[in-house]
Amino acid sequence: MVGSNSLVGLDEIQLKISQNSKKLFFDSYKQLCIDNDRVFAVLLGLQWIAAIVVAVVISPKTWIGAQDLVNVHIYAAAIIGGLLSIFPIYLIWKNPGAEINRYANVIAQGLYSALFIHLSGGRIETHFHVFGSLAFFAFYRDIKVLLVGSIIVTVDHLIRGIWFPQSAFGVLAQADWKWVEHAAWVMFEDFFLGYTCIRGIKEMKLVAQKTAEVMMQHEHAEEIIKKRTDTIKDQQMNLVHASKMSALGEMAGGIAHEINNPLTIISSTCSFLKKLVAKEQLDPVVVKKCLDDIDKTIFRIAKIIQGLKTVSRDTSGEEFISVKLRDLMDDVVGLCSEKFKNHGISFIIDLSHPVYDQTIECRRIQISQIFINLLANSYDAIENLPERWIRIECKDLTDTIEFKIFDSGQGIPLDIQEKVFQPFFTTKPIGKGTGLGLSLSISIVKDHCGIFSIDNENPNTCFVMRLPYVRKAA
Amino acid sequence: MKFMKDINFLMAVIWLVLCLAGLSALNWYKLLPGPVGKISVFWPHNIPLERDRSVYNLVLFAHPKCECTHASLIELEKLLIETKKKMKVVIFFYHPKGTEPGWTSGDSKDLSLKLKMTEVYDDRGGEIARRFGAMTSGQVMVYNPDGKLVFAGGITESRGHIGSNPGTRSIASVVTKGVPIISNQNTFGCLLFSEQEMKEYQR
Repeated sequence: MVGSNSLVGLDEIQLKISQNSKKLFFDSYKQLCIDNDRVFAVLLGLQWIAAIVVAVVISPKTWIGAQDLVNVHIYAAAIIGGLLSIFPIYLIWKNPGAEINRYANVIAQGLYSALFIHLSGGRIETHFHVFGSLAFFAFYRDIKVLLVGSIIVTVDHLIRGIWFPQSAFGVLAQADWKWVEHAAWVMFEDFFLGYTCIRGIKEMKLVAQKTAEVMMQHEHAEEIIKKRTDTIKDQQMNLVHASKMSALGEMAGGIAHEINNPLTIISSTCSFLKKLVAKEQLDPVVVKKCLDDIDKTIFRIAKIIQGLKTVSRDTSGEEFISVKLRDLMDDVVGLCSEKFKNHGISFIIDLSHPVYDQTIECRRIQISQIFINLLANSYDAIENLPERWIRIECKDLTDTIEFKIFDSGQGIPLDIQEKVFQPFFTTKPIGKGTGLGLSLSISIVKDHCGIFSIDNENPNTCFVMRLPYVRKAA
Repeated sequence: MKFMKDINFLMAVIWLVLCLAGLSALNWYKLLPGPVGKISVFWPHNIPLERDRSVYNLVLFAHPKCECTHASLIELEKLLIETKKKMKVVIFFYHPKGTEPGWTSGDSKDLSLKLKMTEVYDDRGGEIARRFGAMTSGQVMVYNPDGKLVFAGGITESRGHIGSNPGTRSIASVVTKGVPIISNQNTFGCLLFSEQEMKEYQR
C-alpha cells in the first residue's frame, strides 16, 4: 500500500512539474513575443522614416520642362510606408505578443523590401533588406512565422517577377526563372535560421522544465520549513508562557499571603458577628461596619485574582486595545505589591499622578508581563541588599510614554549589558530564572514600535521603556 | 476558427489589400511611359551636328534634373562597355528658354562628361529634341552608319530603375551583331517640355 501511495505521489509530482513547465514555457515564449513585437514596432517606425528620407534624398522632384513637382516617391514613401507601419504597430500596442502580430510584422517587413527596392531605383544592395528581415523573423523562434515570411517573399518575387521584374529583382532581371534562384537563397538562409529556431525553442523548454523542477523542490522545502517554523513557534509560545508563569510563580507567595490575610479578616469578622448573634447584641452600626470590612476585603481579593487572571492568560493572538495606564498598572501593582511588602521592600508608584489618566494602544497582557518580569528581576537583585526599594516613574513625552523602573541595585555591569537581552542568559541561580524575561520584553517592545534600554546615567539600576501612545504601522 | 472570427483578422485583410494596392499603384506609375513625338527615321539634316558615318550613332535626350536620367546614364555606360568602339554617343541636355546658362549643371551632367566616346551638349529650348522627335527624358535613338534609325526608345525598364532591359539588349545586339531585337521601346522619365511648349511643338 505504501509503495502504491508513493507511486501515486510521484505521478502527481511529475504531472505538476509537467504542468508548471508548460506554463513557464508559455509565459517565457509570450514575453519573447512581446519583446520581439516591440523591436518590430520600433523597426517599422524607423523604416517609415527611412523610406521618406530615401525618397527625399534620391528622388525629391519630378520635372515637366523647367517646372518641378514633388516626386511620387515621396507620397509613396509617406502613404505606403505609413500603411505598412501603422497597422502592425497598432496591433502590437493593442495586444503585444498576440499571434496575429507576428504575421502582420512579417507581411509588412516583406512589403517594405519591395518599397525600398522601388525607392532606391532597384539597387541590388536593397536585397540585403530581404535577408536581414528573415533574420528578424527568426527572433520569434517560430518555424511557422519563418515559413510564412519566406513564402511571402517568394510569392511576392514570383508575382512581381512575372509582371514587374525590376521591382522585384532590381538590376538582376534577366530571366523568368530568377525568382527560383531568389527562393533558393531564401531557403538557404531559412535552413540555418530554422535550425536556430528549433534549437532556441528546445532550450526554452529545457529551461522551463528545469525551472519547474527547482520550483517544485523549493515548494517542498518551503513546506518543510513552514512545518518546522510552526513547531518552533509553538515551542517558543510554550517557552514564553512558561517564562511568564515562572515570573508569576515567584510572585505567588505574596499573592497567597495577600489572599490569606483578608480571608483571616473575613473569618474573624464572621466569628465576631456569630458571637454577637449568639448573645443577641446585634448593634446595627457595628454589624454595618463589620459587613463593610468584609466587602472591602472581598473587593481586594477579587482585584488580586483579576490581575492574576489577566496576566496569566494566553497572549497568542492578543489584539491591540486602548488601555488606561492606571488600569494597566493596577494589574501589576495588585500582583506584586504584597510580596514586596512582606519582604520589606518599598514599592513606590504614584498612581494618582495625572499621567496615569492617559490611554495607550497596546497588547495589555504583554505589557503587564514586561512589568512583572522587570519587577521580579528587581526583587531578585535587591532581595539581600540592606537598602531595598523599587520605584516606577511614568512621564509623558508628547507622542510616547516613558516608563522608568528603578531599584536600589547598583546597576548592570557594562560587560553583560548586551548579554542580558539574549535569550536564556541569566545571572540567577539554576531553577530560579528562565533567562527569557528580558529577551521577551525587548521583543514585545519592538512589536509595539517602542524602545527598551538600560539607563546607565543613573547610579541605581534603571530600565527605560518608551511606547508610542498610538500604534504605528509596521 | 476563433482566430478567423477575430476582428483583427478582418482588419489585417483590409490592411493587406490596401498595402498591395499602394504598391501596385507605385508599380503602375513607374511603368507609365512618357510621350513620344514624331521620331525622325533618318538622321536629320537641319541640325548643327554631323553624324559619324563609320559607326552607329546614338543620341540620348535627357532632362538634367530628372532623377531618371541618372539610371539612363548608368545603363548607357554599360552599353558603351559592351559595344566597345562601335558607337558614337551624343547626349543632349534639355535647356529651357529663359533659364540661366548653368541650369543644366548637376550630377547627371557630371556623370555624362565622364563617359568615354561621348559628346555632351546643351539643347537650348529643346530644338534638337524637336528635330529628332524626343519628348521624354531618357529617349534614345540609334542610327546605323547609313543614317537610318535602327532603335528608338528608353534604356530603362521603368522610371529611374537601373538594370538590364530590352532597350540596352536590343541596341547591343544591333550594334555588335547587326541584328535588332526590337526597334521600339517605351521611354520612362520626366517630360522634356512644358504643356505650353508641347502645344507649340505639336503645331
